[in-house]
This record gives sequence, structure tokens and C-alpha cells, in this order.
Amino acid sequence: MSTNTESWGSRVGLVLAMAGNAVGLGNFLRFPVQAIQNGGGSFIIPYLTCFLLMGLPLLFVEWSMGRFGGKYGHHSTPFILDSMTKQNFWKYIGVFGLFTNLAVAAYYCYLESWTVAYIYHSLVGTFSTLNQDGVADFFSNYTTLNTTTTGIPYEAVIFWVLCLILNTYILSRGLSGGIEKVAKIGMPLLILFGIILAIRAVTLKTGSQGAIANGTDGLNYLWTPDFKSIWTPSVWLAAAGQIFFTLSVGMGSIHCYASYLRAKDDVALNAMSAGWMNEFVEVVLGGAVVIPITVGYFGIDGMIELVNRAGGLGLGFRTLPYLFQQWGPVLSVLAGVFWFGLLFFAGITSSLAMGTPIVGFLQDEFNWRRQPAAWAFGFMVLLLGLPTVIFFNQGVFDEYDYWVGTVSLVIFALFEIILFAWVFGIDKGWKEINDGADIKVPIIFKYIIKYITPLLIGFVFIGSLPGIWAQITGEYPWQVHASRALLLGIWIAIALVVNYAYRKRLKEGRFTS
Amino acid sequence: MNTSALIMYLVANITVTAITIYFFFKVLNTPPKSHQVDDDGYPDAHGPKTFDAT
Repeated sequence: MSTNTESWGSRVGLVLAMAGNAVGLGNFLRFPVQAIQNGGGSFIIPYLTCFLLMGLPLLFVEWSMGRFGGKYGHHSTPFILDSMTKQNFWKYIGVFGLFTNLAVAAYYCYLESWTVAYIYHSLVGTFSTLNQDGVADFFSNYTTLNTTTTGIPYEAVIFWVLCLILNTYILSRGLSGGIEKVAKIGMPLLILFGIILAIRAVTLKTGSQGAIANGTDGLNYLWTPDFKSIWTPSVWLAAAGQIFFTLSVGMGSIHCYASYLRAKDDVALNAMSAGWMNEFVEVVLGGAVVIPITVGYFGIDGMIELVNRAGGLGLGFRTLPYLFQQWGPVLSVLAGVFWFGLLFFAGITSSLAMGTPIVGFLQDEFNWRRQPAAWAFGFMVLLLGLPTVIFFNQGVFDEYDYWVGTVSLVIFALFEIILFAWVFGIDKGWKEINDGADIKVPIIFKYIIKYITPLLIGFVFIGSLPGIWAQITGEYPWQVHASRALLLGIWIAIALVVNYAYRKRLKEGRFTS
Repeated sequence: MNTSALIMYLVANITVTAITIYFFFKVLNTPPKSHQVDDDGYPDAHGPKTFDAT
């Protein structure tokens, strides 16, 4: 018998936790860069179209699958998928839902720990003594481990371990006692910090506090439409990819959160609300902070050069801390705390969602209590994350991100939409979506889920194949090859554990559905 | 901002904000359901279904 008898404390807590799961650092760092590189203002058209045709349908599907599996006491994708069909191999497709969460958490917690470190350094005034190159070098030194700007040895490791302990502790407190509380505090604060920074960014004036352009010049550049780009397939591919990764679909964490719902709880309105909240943070807030501030101090050409050289992550960690210093001693500290604070809340609400399926699996299949299961997850992340910390500059972090945070999501989503719409059956699936629904989902979504969404995900996957081939055949240091072997080994190991758990279930007479 | 950028910015931001607020308020204002009867033939949500394997 499973020890897993948890449930959500409140509906608002669930929606905020789900929105927090979706909202990540990419909302602030990836979206504006994608928009700039793919048609500016007109990017929103393919972006929102993909949200309606792929993002929302996948949210409906994952919420429904999760609640369906939860009815049978499953809280992770291997046996949620298994409960939906008599075909045995689907549980091994569900392995992706454990693998992705574990491996993404391994590098994501490191990224999250940077935000904690940068909050600390904003508070103690580290950046106020550095020039532009000094702030950029701070990041390089920080991630090189054995070099330091501040004199704290191995501070990246220290902040990383602290961050891991914090995540694990919150996970060990459970759904309502830990995750929900963090979401209820973190999401409102994230939105508040985002609104304050967005107002500051768009009110930047030429000549004031060292700015060479208006903040609105950045908005102007970001939102000026290039309608010709709408007819470019690569723009649609970028929009579909952005929708995919921003919503945290194809991971297995949404299934897990939804599996703690009751049989007649709504999924349709909850999915809508959480999905649109993510869009608000991404489009309204994410588009109004990084680009306007960067354009304000570097102009359009300088911003484009920085984006091409360092990407969104570079803007967020190498450039903004320096630009905040132009706002005076008090505002610079506040801006640093608000910026890295909102990134921290975006990060931790996502990393907690990654831990929940692993903890749920250990509870369901091996009768572990919540606390040891959470600490086991923390230990696994520590081991698996070590290569990304030690070999960050050799590209191991990016390698994890590519295979686990990109390719794996698309593969799993493609399989799950086929399972839901074609194997489980769209009629049963449509009934699941509408069971207990507090809104009427337009019937057109039934056909979108059956035909359009699988085609769109297939389009994303096929469009990614040249990149996958280039990644496989590229020249990389041995650390990158070793990390690939490690990830493959982890996937196989999880599949073996799932197989063992299945045989254990049969032996104990516990069928999956 | 030029006119086309301003239009794109306002339309996108107002649309996304309005829909987000609408659905979130709907979540806040929808009364909770009674869960006394789960009459759909499914087992209880909390705890795995257990069968006699024989």
C-alpha cells in the first residue's frame, strides 16, 4: 500500500503551483530574445497561434491524464500512462516523465543557485565596485569554480548545495505544507517584482542616469512587426518551440501535480488559468524588462550584439547587474534583489515541480515516506548535477539542457498526445477533459487535440532533426560525450526500476488499472 | 514607439492580461464541489487500486 495520501490544500494553491511550474527563467530570458530574432512584434501571431493549437491542448491532455492516473493511485507518468492502455510498453514511454524531471533538475538547480548568489552579491554591494567587464568576468569566474572575484572559494558549489538543501526541505514538507506555500508566496512576489522592474524599464529616459536611449525604444524594437516573417517556417518553428518549453509540457510534472486532484475536480478551468498566467508573465512582464533596459544603455545595435554574443542568459547575469548600478546605491540594490528574486521564484517553483514525480514514484512503488523520498531525490540531483557544475565551461550544462530540456520533451509530448487522442481514444479523452469542468471547453479543441496538435508537435520534432544531427556529429570535449553516456545510462536505469516496480506490483496483486 | 509597434504591443498585452485576469477570477469565484460521492466507478483518489491477483 502506498504511503502517498497527499492532496492540494486549496484550488488557488494548485493553480499558482501549476503556473509556477510553467513560469521559469526562460519567460524573462528566452522569450524576448526569440521575439527579436523572429520578426519582432509579429512573432506574437505565430506564438499565440501555437499556444492555442499546441500549448493549451497539451495542458488539457496532461492535466486530464494526471487526474485519470491519480484515480488509480499513480503519481508519476510510467504508471499513469500504463493505466490508460493495455499495451505494456507505454510505461517505458512514461520513463521520460521521471528521467526528464530528474535530469533537468540536475542542471536547473545549479542555474537557480546563481540567482541566490546574485541576490546575496546585490545585497552586499559586490557589483557596485565592478565595471562592465568586471561584472561579466564575475560570472565567468563564478562558473569556473577555482577562480573567484570575491575571495569566497568554491562559492558556486556552496550556493548550489544550499539551493539543493532548500529544494529538498520544501519537497519533504509535502504538497500543501511545502510546495503550495512557496507558490502562494513566490508567484505574487514574482509578479510584483516583474511589474516594478517593467515600469522602471519602460520609463528610462535618454540622458537620465547614464541612459543613451529611452526604454520605450527597446519596446519599439521588440514590438515593431515584420509581417513578412510570418510566412517563414523557421519563425513558426521558433514560436512552437517557445510555447513548448515555456509551459513545461512534455515533462511529466503537470501529470504529477494533477494526479493529486480528486476524481471530479475541474481540470479545464485550472489548466486555462495556469496556462494564461504563464503567458502573462512571459509576454507582458518578460517582454518589458531585459530588452528595454539593455537598449536604454547600449542602444539597439549594442543590444543586438549582446544578444547574439551572450544570449538571454548572458543579458540577465553578465549585463543587467552592471546596468542596475547606474540607478544609484539604493535603487541598484533593490533592482538586483527584485530581478534575481523574481528569477529565483521562477526557478524554485519549477524545480519543486520536477522533484514531485520522483518523490511520488518512490512513495507509490516502494512505500517510501515523503521525507526520505525527498532527500533521496536531493541526493540523486546532487550526484547527477555534479558534472554540470564541475564541467560547466566544457559544455556539459548545455548538453544536459539540449538533450533533456529540449529533445526529450518533444519526444514525450509526441507519444503522449498519440496515446491520449488515438490509443486511449479522443472520445474517452474528451470526456476526461470535461468531467467536472467549471468551463465549457469549445468542441473544436477535440479535433485540435486529435489532428492538429500531433501534427504540430511532429513539425517541431522534424524541424529539430537537423539540429539533433548537428549536435550528434559535432566536435566536443570528452566531458560532453561522457555526459551523453551518463544521461543514456540514467534513462536505462530508470526503465529497469520501472520494470522492477511493475513486476513487484504483479507479485503483490496490485494492477495498474 | 511607432504606430504599428504600439498597436501590436497594446493588443497583445491587453488581450493576454484580460484573459489571465478573467480565468483567475473565475478560479477564485467558482464554489468548491462536494466530494462526498465519487460515482464514476473509479477507486478513491488517494491510495492505489488493489486487486486480488488470483
